[in-house]
Amino acid sequence: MYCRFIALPLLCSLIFACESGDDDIDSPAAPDAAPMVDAGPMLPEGCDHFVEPGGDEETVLQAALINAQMGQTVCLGAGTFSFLGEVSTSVDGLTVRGAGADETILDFTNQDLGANGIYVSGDGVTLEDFQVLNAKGDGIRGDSVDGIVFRRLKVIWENDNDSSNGAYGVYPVGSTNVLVENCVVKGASDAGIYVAQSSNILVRNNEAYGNVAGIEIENSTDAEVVDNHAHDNSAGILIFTLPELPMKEGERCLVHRNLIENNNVPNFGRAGSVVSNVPGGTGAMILAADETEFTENIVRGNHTTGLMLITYIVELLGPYMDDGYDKYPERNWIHDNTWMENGAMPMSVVGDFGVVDGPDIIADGCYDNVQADEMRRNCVAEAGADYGVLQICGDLSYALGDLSLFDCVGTDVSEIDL
Amino acid sequence: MFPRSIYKAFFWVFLVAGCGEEPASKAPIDPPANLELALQDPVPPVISAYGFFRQPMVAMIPVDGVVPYQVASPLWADGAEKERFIALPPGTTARIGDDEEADRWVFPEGTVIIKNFWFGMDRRAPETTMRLMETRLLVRSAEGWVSHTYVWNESQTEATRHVAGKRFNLAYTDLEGAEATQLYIVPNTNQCNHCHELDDVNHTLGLVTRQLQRTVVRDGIDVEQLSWLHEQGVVSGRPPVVEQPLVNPAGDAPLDARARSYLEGNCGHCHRTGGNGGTSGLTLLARETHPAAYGICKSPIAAGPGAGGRTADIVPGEPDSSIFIYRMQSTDPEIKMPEIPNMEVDTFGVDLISEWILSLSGACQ
Repeated sequence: MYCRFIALPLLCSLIFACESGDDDIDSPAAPDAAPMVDAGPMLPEGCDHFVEPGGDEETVLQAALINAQMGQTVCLGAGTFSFLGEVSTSVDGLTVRGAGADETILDFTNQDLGANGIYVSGDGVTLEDFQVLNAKGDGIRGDSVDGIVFRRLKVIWENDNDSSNGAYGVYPVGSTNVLVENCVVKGASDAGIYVAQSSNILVRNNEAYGNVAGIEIENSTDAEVVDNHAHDNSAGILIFTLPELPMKEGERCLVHRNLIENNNVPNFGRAGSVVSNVPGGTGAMILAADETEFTENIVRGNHTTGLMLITYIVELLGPYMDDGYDKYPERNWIHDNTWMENGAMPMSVVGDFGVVDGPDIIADGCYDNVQADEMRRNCVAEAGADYGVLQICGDLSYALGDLSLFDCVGTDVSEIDL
Repeated sequence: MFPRSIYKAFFWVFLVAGCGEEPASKAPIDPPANLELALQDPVPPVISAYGFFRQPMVAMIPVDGVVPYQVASPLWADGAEKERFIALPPGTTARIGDDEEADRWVFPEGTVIIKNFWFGMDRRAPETTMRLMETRLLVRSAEGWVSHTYVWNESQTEATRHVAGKRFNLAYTDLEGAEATQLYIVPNTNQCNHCHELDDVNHTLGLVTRQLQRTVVRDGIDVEQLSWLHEQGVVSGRPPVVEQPLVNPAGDAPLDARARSYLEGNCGHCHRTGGNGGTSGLTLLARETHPAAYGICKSPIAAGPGAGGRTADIVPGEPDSSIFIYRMQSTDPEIKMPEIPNMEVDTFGVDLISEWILSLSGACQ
């Protein structure tokens, strides 16, 4: 059926009511439109479009982002924009710039549509100087893009330790050339800064607190995580390689000069997610990832342990069906970090193992770190750290161990230049 | 019903009369399609400019050269009814693709795919209480498919282009005769592309042989749509039949085929390699043969709260333990699937996929 002979407009309009009467115009000229400037003295320097809060700000901003030309800059005025739906941009080379992370607030508290606050699908997009508040799902997702910059942003969920907060704060996935710098992320119910299935990644000078995981690099290659402050999360920094994802590899991540402290919030992640199984009180965790170099970090005050070097254990993390997945962490190189006051009160599964006085570094007994196996063995050079083994694959015992098992020199991982 | 002769005349009149050789006169009855306007930048602000439909347009009677088609497994759109049409430039036809997506139809530059969305404002008698909501266009430009959305006015005389989407609070009479309301969301242009994109390039979704290989009613007679479209001159050569076409999820095909067809029609545009849900690792195409790839016992790696405490996308025999059902039943924007733009749960789909999961045997490790 595609043709109908009915007499209709009158009948239809009798039963139909629409939200905004006969206003069918979404141009900035609409009477309730938010202020928007494309030219003239009111246009701030360096901006091609300027949108301020007020009126139908959601429509005006979304239209500006769609109508912008490649390489242009859309500026957002100071104040609070309120959104019901996800805001998206697909224009390549676009810059979206606010007046400051505490001045321009994109408020998603009443969001009812879209799984992200902001969704970016254009290549080479720069987002800077604004705040995303209380996104219903993820804060800012960059999906399958080549080149994306998150700079001086805040992604905040106001509620503390709330499992109904959105999952990921800053969330580039399936992307290349990813830069996250000088951002603050708080409250994510999964990972604050979550770089997934990406390559060529630089995460620097950010603050992540109050999240389940502060910073997570997952199934990604060639990453540098440097000069970040990960504190008061359930776990500070996670380097993960997980099964059943299109990007199989997770290798060559340089984690250095970070301050990883007091990550002691009981895990408030929602059951079912991998991250919800990470014990609170964990400074950092390398899970099944290869060739991580972890060095010159200060790791202190984490109640369960400073660093866990862990195999993907089905019993703890959930089943998978992925024949090509390598569950062991290999060729990781941990050296010259500062370890202080970790393991005071082991939580969650580690505590359940009977570990009372947690060490700085915990490994599992799933893989014999034999000297001869240079292609796989992990290396640790930490004079001041104590070390324990959870025999997760064996008799489930725990004992302090001897780091001499890991006495080798690993491969340095290159810094990332973006 | 539509007069038989008009179907036959569609394409040939279109060829003879041509379209767009000169500007359309102001308000002719049954104007020819001004297809070339779709390639202008910007495109016309109102739908009437194209002349796709006879007056009154709300009856959705296409002019000659605007050819209807139907798909086997449609996407749920909050209960909206949809009518689909193809408008080809004069003297051109579609052909069957030769890339890896071998049954995808390839259209010449200037083609416009038209989809009308409407509701029956009295759900007990939808055909006589139609209310057109929006008309979406996909225009085949030199660079690829470009999407546009036109929103119908209250008096149903015209639809106006909206790039940033629109929200409607619809008041209607439900199947029991009670007053009801629903929020209907017209997607913005980016949201159109979110579903149509594959590796950053827009595609048509329904215009693949596996969706088109079905029976349709034309002139009151059941006809095979592939042959019919070929007879109308839409496609050059009769498209080769595919072995496993999608089936009507509400039809009488075996349960497995109906469920897999539903999942492809509603999820497969994103959940496939290169699609916007590709990073999930799920491939919800009916032809996928690897069980974990279409969800069986697949763990929720990056589903976040979307997992709802469940351990696998599909737990055989246990719909209530399966993430698929959890997300299909949800209206929470963070949890629900599809992500956009639906606001209403497709209870038919939930029931179908639940029944299918219940029928599956085996256990997850």
